[in-house]
Amino acid sequence: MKAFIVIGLSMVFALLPLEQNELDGEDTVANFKAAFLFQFAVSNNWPPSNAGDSFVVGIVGGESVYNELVDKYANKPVGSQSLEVVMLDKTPDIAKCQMIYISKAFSKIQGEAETRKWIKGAQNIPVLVVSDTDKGLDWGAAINFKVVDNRIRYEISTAQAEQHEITIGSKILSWAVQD
Amino acid sequence: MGGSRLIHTIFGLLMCFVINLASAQDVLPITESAVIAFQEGNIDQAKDRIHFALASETEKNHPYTWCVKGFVYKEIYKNNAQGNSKSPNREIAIEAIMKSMNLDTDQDYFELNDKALRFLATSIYNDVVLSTRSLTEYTLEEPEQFYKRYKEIMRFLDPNADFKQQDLELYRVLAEAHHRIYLKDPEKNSIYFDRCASYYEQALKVSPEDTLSNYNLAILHYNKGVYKIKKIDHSTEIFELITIQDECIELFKQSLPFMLKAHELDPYRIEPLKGLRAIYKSLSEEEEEEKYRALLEKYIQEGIIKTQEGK
Repeated sequence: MKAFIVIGLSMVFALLPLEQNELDGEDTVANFKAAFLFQFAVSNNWPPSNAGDSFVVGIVGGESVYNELVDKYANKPVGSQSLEVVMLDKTPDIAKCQMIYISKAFSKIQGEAETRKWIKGAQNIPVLVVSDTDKGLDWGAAINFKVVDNRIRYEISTAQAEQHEITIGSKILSWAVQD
Repeated sequence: MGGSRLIHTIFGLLMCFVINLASAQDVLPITESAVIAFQEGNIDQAKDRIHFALASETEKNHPYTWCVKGFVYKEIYKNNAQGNSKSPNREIAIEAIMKSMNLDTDQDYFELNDKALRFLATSIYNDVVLSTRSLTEYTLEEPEQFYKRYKEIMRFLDPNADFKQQDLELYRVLAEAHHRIYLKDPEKNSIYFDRCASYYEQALKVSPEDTLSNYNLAILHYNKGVYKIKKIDHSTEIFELITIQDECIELFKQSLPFMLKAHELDPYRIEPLKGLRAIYKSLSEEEEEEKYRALLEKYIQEGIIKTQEGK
C-alpha cells in the first residue's frame, strides 16, 4: 500500500515540467525609427523635381533600421511613388535619394566630422536629412531623432527642411518635440 | 491488478483485526458479508451489501462500515472510472472514508483510512495537472476546483499541511496554460494575458523568490510590447505610432522589475541578462544596456554563465 502511494505521488510531479518563456528578440527601437521614417516620407511635402518612380530612402550605417524598412515598407506607396531603401556608403549617392537617415551607431562610431560630411553632402539638393545624434539639428539636419522619457521622438528644423525645398507636413510637425 | 492484490491483503489483515475484536462479526454481520463479497471480487454485491449495512440501525454508525464503503467505492473508481475526473464514485469513497475517520475516535482504522484517502487525494491532484495540460477556454475553472478539493482532503488529514510548493506549482502551471491560450490569438485572447499575469503574481505572492515566475512575468509583459510593435506597418498613422509607443514603454517598464529580480536571484543565468539588455535597449537606456551587455560578455568569457540546458 505504501509503495503504491509513493508511486502515485511521484507521477504527479513528473507531470509538471515548467516552461521558460522565450524573449522576442525583435529590435524595437529600429522598428520605431523605421516607422517614423516612413511617416516622414508619406507626410511631408516634396518638391516636384522628386517625381520619379521610386521614393528612395538612403541609410547611412544603420543596418537594423535598413532591415526594418526593407521588411515592412519597401515598395509601399509614397504618394504616386513606391518606397525603395538603399544602404549608402559614399556621399555622392545622396543625390539618388529623397531622404537619408544617418544612424546613431554611425554618428557614435564615426564622430562629428563624418556625420557633418554626410549632412553637407545633401546641401543644395532636395533631400531630407534625418540624423540621430544629440547635435543633429546644429550640424544641419532637418529632423533629428531624440529620446524623451524612454520614447523615440524627433525634433525638427523647418528652416533647414525648407533649404532643401521640403515642407514639413502638419501631422509630422504636430508630434515633434519642441525645445 | 497489483493494487487489487494489495487491497485483498489489507482486507485480510483487516479481517484478522476485526475477528480479534470481541464479537465483531456478531456486531457487524452485514458489513462483514460485504467484505467477503469484496474479497471474492464481487464488487457489485459488496456495494449492495454495504448499502444494506448502512441502512441497518446497528451498523450504520460504525467506522468500519464506512471504511468498507470507502474501499468498495474506491475500487469501483479504480476499476471503472480512473481517468474520469468527474466520476462520482471517487467522491463517494472520499466522503465515506472521511465519515469513518470522524467516527473512528479510537483510531482503529486510521492507517487504512489515511492511506486510502491519500491515494484518492493524489488522484485528484493528478486531475489538477491533467486538466491544466488540456485547459481550454471552456474548462478554465476545473484545475482550481480539483485543487481546492485536494487541499480540503489533505487538510482533513493534516490541519497543518503546508501547500506552499504545490500552490506555487499550480499557479505557474495555470499561468503557462493561460499563456498558451493567449498566444493562439493575442488579439482575441487578450483576457488570457491578464489571467496569465495574475497567476504569476499569485505565484510570486506565495514565493517572491521564484526565479521562473519573475522571469516569465517579465517576458510576458515585454513580449506583449514587442507584439504591438510588430503589428506596426505602412497603414499605421503617426498618432497611432505615438500611442503604441506609449503603451509599449509602459509594458517594458512593467517588465523591468521582474527581470531585475530574476537576475538578482540567479545572476549567472543567461536569460535574465539577455532580457535586461533587451528591456533597457527598448527603453533607450543605453548605459544600462551596455552594462548588461558587458556583464554577459564577461560571464561568457569566464565560462560561468548558466543556460537553460546546463547548469
